[in-house]
Amino acid sequence: MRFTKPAWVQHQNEDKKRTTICSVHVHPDCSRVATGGLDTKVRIWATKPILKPEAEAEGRPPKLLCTLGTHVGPVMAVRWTNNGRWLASGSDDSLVMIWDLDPNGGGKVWGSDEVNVEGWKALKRLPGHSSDVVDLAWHPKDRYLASVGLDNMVFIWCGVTLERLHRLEGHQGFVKGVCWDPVGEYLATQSDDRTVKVWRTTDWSEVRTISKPFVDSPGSTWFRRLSWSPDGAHITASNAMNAGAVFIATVISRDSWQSDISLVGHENTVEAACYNPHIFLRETDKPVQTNNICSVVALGAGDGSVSVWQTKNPRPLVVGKEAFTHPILDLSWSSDGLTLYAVSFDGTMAVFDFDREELEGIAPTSAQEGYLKKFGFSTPELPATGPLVHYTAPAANTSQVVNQLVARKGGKKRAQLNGSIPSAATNGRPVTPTPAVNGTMAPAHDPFSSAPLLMPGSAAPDMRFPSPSPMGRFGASMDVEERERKRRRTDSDGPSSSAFGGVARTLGGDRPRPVVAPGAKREVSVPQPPAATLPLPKLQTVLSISEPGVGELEALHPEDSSKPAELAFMTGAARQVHWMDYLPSPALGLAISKEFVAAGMVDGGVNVYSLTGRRLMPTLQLAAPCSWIAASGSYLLVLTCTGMLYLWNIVEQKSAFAPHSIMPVLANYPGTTVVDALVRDNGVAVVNLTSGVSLSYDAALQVWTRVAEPWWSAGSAALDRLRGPVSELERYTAASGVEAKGGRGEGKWWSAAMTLGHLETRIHAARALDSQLEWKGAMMAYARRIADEGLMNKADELAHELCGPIYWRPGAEKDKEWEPMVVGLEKRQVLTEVLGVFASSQALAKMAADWQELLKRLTA
Amino acid sequence: MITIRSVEFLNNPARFLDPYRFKVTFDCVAPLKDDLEWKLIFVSSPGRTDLDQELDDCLVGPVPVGINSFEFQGAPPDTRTIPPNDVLGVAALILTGSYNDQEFVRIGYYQNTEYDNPEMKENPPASIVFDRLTRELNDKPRVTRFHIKWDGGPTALPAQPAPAPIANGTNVAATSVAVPSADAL
Repeated sequence: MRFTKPAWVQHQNEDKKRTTICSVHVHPDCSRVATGGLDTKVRIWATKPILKPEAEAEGRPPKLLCTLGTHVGPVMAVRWTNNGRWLASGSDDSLVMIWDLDPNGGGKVWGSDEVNVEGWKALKRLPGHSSDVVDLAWHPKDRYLASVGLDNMVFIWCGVTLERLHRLEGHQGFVKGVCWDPVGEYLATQSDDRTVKVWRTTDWSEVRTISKPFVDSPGSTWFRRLSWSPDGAHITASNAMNAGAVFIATVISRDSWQSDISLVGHENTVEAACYNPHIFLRETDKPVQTNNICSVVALGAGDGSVSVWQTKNPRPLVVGKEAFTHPILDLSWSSDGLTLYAVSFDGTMAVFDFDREELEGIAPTSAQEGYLKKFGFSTPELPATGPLVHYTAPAANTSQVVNQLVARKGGKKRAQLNGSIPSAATNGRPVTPTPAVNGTMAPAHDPFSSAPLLMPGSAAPDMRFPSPSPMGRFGASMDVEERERKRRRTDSDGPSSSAFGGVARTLGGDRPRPVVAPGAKREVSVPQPPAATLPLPKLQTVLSISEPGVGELEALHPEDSSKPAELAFMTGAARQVHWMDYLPSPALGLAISKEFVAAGMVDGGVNVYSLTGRRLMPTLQLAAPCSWIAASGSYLLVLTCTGMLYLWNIVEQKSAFAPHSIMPVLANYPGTTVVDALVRDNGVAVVNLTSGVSLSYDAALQVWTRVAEPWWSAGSAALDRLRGPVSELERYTAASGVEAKGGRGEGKWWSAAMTLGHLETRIHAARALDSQLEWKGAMMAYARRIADEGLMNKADELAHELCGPIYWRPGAEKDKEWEPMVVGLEKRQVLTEVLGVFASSQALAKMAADWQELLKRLTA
Repeated sequence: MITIRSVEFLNNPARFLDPYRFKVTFDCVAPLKDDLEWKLIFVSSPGRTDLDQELDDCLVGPVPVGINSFEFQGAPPDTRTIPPNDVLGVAALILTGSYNDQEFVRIGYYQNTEYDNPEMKENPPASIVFDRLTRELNDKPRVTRFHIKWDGGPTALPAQPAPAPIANGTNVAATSVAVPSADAL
């Protein structure tokens, strides 16, 4: 396998910086690949320069073939028809566009520096969705196009006339993935309502809703792209969860619609699944029949890694672990089944190019065609009589025909009374297109007789590199799967005497933990308290949490409910039990930090233990059970299902602030709930909402503050982030996929105001979260932006703030009025650096020099 | 819906007091019920939108599907409204396209204005001599597109969707040409 990452495949934002690629799809002839970007553009690239260094060096064919800039929102999906004639694109602007090759098109793109080598033109615009279009799929025979989006709808379009045929309602949340059954009998869609729905294509009725594997799946992913295996037998769906918060892709069987197989190993949500289009044979010398067929499926995940699985093996064939720094958003296999393309949020494309021998048992395309006949399903024929009433497209070959229109004088009032010079073209003639070249006329000549015909696929065979490179770049194992196996093995061995050799007697230390295979974890039903307004975690037979270097806390709930729940604290790979306890009521949530552990119970009680198992305080009785419980350093946070937020400093045995309800604040965001609640080492509580807003309770101000929100995404240019807690929140906001409300502004101040506002917010957030690195980064970016804009007032006020009172001297007594430090940095030291930035700006140079002078005298 | 293919200046450079003459060519992918409105705006002083002058505005329609073009002429700016300090040097000319009072495209050009002879360029007269001025538009437009609502948005589906009948050879698919391999480019 060869791994390539062509740096020049990119979409660019307004600052010419690399920006997210949301979608990728290879043309069926394998010679070009389309990408859709956050920059609202569709780009078409030649694959030869990607796959062959010679072609890349030679510049033939050109790397970038075409840029299509008609969409006004990020392009979330690009999909070629199976016959390769059209490209469909779906965008946040709620439109689906169909692109057609224009043999006379191409050339310099007006209004940009780009030159299109190949001309693709908008053939049709498909309005219908009332919100962002997220995924698209062509029927295996191009009979239909399916589109899904954030309006919770599924639209079916005719693949021939491009008329809209059906709207499938049923999903209760954003629909983020769609795929067709290769047989043509079914359509599958996957939604944030935590279901996959299967629809019958003969009457478009809903066949089945599958929800079990998705009950705990987070709604924060960009996509939930799913894929149907080429033998028709399985659907692999993304973003599923196993009990115990294990991110998986789930394999759903045709007709029974049961999901018994999990693909385990990714460290974050799976965004996309994509089957290799070829059928694979388990034993190559045996015939193509059901028990001898397997398939190959690729997964792309939020952890930035790609895994490729062959369904006959329990472990993946290949894992690309550090291929990307950010989530993978789309995958596409070439039609020859040998090349896998992946694109990422980080704006890059990676290509995995396999040798035929590496994909053992790959069968020719004809094997699939033959095999699918056994289903005995045929797609309904097109009605073939009568004229085409709805749409008459200009033929591709008539693109040089231009309708001459006449401009009429506008009926509006003129802004200026300067009418002494009349407009020449305003003589009020009716506007009529020149009849002879009317765009609705039939094509002048038959496109099939004149266009050169080169059949798709003719270029495919010579696309391999001559020199094979080793597979060694990626480990062919998945971590969690591995860990899980080790753990089970250790468990079944039981505690060996040697493991206890050097350990003093502890409570429960000699007691073997019962072996619980991950598959055996089951939910135990808990009555939802009547007052519950935030979701409660599902009660599970096994609940565990671990902290590196500290240990692991596990709660066991026997299926026989007459037996009490057990809590155990273990350390090391051997999971040696250090202490245990019994709980009066099952544990809903566990928390662990370097100082203590805690368990929140169904009856609203919270037990807090030291690491040696002593109760550090009596059982805390809360008004309601906890939806979230989290610990960090000395702090313990609990958010109850009634919305009360508690925060205690366990070491000091004090409450950090009076319990405070989040419900009044939540009422400002209709339809929103909490997705996560966490606490930082410095005792700052952060609550993430489904609306993409992160709130932090500021004890000093006694109010909730917004530390991250989607609003900035509408206009801020400050999207580069350092690693740290603030960027985690911002990444969460971005991943929530929530669009900024209130629209986009325009004019020259929009971007500046949004960027400065964003940076100011980030500075506050970094201070609240005590993140020195991010505070400094945001402060310097802020200074640079102020300098670029030449904003004297802001610059001066910032300098004042960082300098503090001029009478203050280092080493002076602590002044009540002024704090010389911020996030562990000396403010005046920061000021020196900020002034350095200001000095580079023409507008601020003088002011900066004055301040530098003053600062020199103050420190002298 | 509408994609601009090109905007050509029919007189550039020109005298400052000459009318502006343009030819706009654009693609339209679906028939439009109403006319497109185009406006030409002269921006003399970037900080003062109240001094912006709308030079002309015209309507074009009905617009058929396909490639369309039209010529458009706008009066030169009213010299009385331009602050004397802002006459020479760089100004901006903006062409906007709207549909049903919603702007869908804004195309901005820089205009450079100077005297037509070296002597006056070196030593500009105290009061401006407008008929000795020439203007030149930079041919690098800055294009901003906006998302607007075209005809009425999505229409309701028929209760019992009838499949569109299709005659062989006249469907959309049949008008597309085969796509040759990109390897040969």
